[in-house]
Amino acid sequence: MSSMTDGANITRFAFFPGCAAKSVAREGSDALRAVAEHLQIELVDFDDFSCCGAGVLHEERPNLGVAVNARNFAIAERQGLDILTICNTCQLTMLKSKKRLDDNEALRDRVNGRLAEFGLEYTGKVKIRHLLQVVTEDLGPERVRQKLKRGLDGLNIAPFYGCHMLRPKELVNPDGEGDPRTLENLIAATGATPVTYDSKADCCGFHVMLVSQQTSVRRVRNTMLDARESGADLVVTPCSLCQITLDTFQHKAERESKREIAMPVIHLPQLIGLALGLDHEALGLPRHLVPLPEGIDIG
Amino acid sequence: MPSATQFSSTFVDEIASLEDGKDIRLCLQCGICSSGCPVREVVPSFNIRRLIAKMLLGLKEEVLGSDEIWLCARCNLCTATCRKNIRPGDIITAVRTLALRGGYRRTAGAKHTLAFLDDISSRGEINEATLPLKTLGAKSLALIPYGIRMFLKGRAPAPFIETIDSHDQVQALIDEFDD
Repeated sequence: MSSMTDGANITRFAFFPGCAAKSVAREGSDALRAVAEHLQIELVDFDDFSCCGAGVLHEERPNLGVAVNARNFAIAERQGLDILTICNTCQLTMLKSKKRLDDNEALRDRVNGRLAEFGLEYTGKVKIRHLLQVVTEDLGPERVRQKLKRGLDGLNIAPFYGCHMLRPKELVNPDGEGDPRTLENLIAATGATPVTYDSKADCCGFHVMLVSQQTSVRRVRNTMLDARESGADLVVTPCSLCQITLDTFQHKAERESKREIAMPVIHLPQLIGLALGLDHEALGLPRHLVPLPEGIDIG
Repeated sequence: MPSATQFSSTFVDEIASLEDGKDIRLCLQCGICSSGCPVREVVPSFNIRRLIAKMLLGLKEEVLGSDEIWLCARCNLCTATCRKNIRPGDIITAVRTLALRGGYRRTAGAKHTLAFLDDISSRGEINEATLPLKTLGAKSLALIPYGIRMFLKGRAPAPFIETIDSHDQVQALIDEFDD
């Protein structure tokens, strides 16, 4: 992998947007494409990547869940690329599958036996990386600060990490054992003030959205009311699925709680794009159900 | 009290035979898993400690046929806090696997999971437009006002999605890996 010591170095990634960021949360990938060059990354698209299974396919057939991911890994490895995603659940699902392949030689051989028929092989060298990790580890908040066209000074922004960015800690968690701070550091780099509140590592409820809508609505109510009461102007999340839940169920959460919440929730690449001075249209912000507040001079 | 015939002496073995459920016997029933659970915070009847107690007792039909095992939001907080590292969240995954294998497929949660393989088998990807219908059946009509709000913002999922390239490879994996 190329070093990030000067502006000329571009790192190429196999882009794995995940089903959500290709459809309902398409603005997340649009925003990433708009800021990629500024982050010194190049996104390579693959039309033959399948769904990661989101941990759900794994429930029905655990080994099939691993096998479809192994195929995606092998496709990226064939091009010598690491995988980049903007979905926490894709990240965790891929990392869990990778661990099972790396720990279980018999399963790996069985999978590779089939992949060989397609001219593919999983060797284990592919890395699964999330945008938050790439921005904080490869680029660093200081480099982000230097690239800003305009600061987001005066804005109070609440970080919402999403469960699958933090747990289980042997697979994910950008800050190791300690209190996660990577998002706060990035928010501070944009000139905005990171908001301290209890719900930053809480669950948005996405994964029971269809099975028990009320559970998800109440998760949104609790977390977003907390953000509001803590003085946040907006919330930023690195996960496409959290963004969908917190934005599109907020209307129902307001009805459930009989309280106004009106908390805009933006994707991580949109935060970077706003700080770079890109316009709302290019970042897909008009697609959100809860709009950015009027009178805030951004974008 | 359930009658003796409702206890399965092999249920714990079945759970422990799966990678996700292998450490269930180490559970001490301390309850730290349910004390921090974000689903329990908003649905007080949901209790993962009690669910695991039912598994340890062998209440197989009650557990596998319940809606409760599908209510876990997979946040992994219980897995992060469990003092015995039995990974309660993964144990839920294991009993979901057993439920589907055992034919307990009438719950919304089971239908939701079955829809994933169905979609991946058809196109290689999930169709977010039809997932509610496959999960909830006619009850998904209640989502129409929500869908309209999404549609007005251009956020509604596309009704048709393209099949991925080389989908035959995915189909071959589905044929091979029935486990």
